[in-house]
Amino acid sequence: MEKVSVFLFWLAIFAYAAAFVLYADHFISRRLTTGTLATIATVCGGAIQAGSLFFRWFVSKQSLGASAYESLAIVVWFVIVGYLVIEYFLNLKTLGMFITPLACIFLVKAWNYYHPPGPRIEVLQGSFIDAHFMSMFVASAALTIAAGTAVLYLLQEWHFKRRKSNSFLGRLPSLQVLDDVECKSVIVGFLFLTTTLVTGAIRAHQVWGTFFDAIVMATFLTWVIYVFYLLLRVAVGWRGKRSAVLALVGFFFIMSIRFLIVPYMSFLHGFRG
Amino acid sequence: MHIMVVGLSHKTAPVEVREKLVFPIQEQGEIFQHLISHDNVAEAVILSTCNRTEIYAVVSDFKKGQDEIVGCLSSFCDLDKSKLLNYLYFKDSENAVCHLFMVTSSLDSMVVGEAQILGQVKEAYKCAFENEATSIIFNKLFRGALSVGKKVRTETGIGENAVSISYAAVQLAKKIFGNLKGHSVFIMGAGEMSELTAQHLLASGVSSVLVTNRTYERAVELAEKFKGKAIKFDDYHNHLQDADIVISSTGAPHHVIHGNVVAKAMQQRKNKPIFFIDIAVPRDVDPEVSDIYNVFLYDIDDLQSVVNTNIVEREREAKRAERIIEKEITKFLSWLNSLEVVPTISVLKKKAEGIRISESDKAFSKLQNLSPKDKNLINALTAGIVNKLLHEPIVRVKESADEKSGYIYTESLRYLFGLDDDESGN
Repeated sequence: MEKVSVFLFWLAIFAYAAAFVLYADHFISRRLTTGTLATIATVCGGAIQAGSLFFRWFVSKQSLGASAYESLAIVVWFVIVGYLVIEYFLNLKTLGMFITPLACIFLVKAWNYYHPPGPRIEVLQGSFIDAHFMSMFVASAALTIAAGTAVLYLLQEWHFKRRKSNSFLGRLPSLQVLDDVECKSVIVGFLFLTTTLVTGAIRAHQVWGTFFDAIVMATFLTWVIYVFYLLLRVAVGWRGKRSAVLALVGFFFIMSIRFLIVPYMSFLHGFRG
Repeated sequence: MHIMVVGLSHKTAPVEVREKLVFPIQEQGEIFQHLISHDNVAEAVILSTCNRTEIYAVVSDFKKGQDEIVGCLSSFCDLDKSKLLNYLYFKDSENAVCHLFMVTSSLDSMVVGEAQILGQVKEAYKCAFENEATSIIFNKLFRGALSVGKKVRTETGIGENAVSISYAAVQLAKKIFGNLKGHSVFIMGAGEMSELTAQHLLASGVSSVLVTNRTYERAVELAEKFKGKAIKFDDYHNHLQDADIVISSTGAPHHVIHGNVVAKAMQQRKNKPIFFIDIAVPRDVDPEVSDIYNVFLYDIDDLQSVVNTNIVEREREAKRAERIIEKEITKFLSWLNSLEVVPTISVLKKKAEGIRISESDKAFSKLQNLSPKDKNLINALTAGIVNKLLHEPIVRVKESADEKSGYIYTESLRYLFGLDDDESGN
């Protein structure tokens, strides 16, 4: 079973890589067939990855997400699902060209942390901690998508301000659509980030009697960035370029938490190496 | 049979001639009757647009068909035959098919990539079909042409980018605002160009219009035309915050719209993006305005450079379209060749012989004790039956081959005996 899970994991990476090539071809050549195939490849990748996670869950007999390997894989899965929803409603295949390679990179990175499925330590058991994990996954996925659209927005905006026609950049989606998707993703991400922060802090307080830790502080800081994102947008009209930059700053913090603070600086998350 | 086209277009005839050769759909029935009444003409389609008039036909004899169609054209349009011949082009077989595919894909149009021609060809084919002037060849050819046209539109960028200044402005607005519904346009300075651009914007969904002009009466006039609101020129800066798109073409010798006015308007509209289209020379909008957050500014040169890039792009895409067309022509021609009598008969005979041999071999393997003489007898018997059965259809198909719709029998033969399946199976 564990081998099946690993096999499906790599198959999913392959599917996402194929999807990337197809999305790129669709973007450059406009062939309709490759566009459709790209979506099919992404859907298959998502299904295969769901299979991989299912088998891992089946072996370990408990909800997933307590290790770096599992959490990264689940975040990627949520990103893909979120992206597919956006593609379904807005036909934003250009975004797929950015999301699928990101998925591949994250999954390969996840493989570095691979460990055989096994029981969690006691501190990490319970539905409260599961809620903490789940909201963290959804938040990371939504904010990743927001960052992806922010990059597209900045590219498109730069292209417009430069006032030169470019046949490739001209094919990017309109500024308004990108701004909308980015804002909605941030809202979803923000709500789940709040839940993550609250559940995490409460659990930390229960177990250690304190929540003063690098990770709580860093997450709080990230949360503040997104508060600013939303407040400035509503109150002062910070939309477009400035909010795109903020979305990227927030994403940079999320990545730092994931790859710097969790492995090296947080004692609260230090129990599983 | 031959596929041929006789016609004239903007490339061969001036408008004085073209305007005489316009056949509206409702009048085409009579021409079809006239054309099909000739023994020589089996199928016909008339394509009549403002830039071209073409008659496509399936004829038994190319030369005769040419005369008949030219005769028909001249009698219906009151033009002397000899004069008409100066403007007409004639194409047959592969060239005619290629021409139709090029026309449908708008590669032969005045503005390469324009979208109307596809609908016009569709209408023309529909009209011919309803008048029973088409049969298997044109049904296949025109449906093929329409699907090629669609494929070219979707798989190349041939019609994607605007090649006129006003359309380029609309396209840029769409790239900024997405859907233009619910957005407003502010026309500063009534002029032909700004009016045209505003018209395109309204057609794309822009819902409200503000107009201002040095002479207020002219502004009112234009505002009425677009069902918008006229504004006094001195008062324009108080309304700038209501506009998403500003088209500016005043005749002022200096900048009219300055950075501080725009910055104030942006503050009032909470930084919602604004798009300035400055088509005035000298320019109306201070170029520094484009440095303001969420302000986009294109002047006439910027728009022209966008158009130039788009034209180059269209030419490149046209090359790709030609490659798509080439493939489809080959496909169609191989189907057309299959309608020839001689190859059809030989395929039919081969199939019959194949069945005869395989069935007698089966029988021989069960009848072990046959002498060679018996075997010869049985072979002669089976061959006799097969030949007798096929004799009549083959003779009749050959006879009808010279008739005007003879290929219908060939096609039926291929269909009833499943000859196409055999060939593709092999």
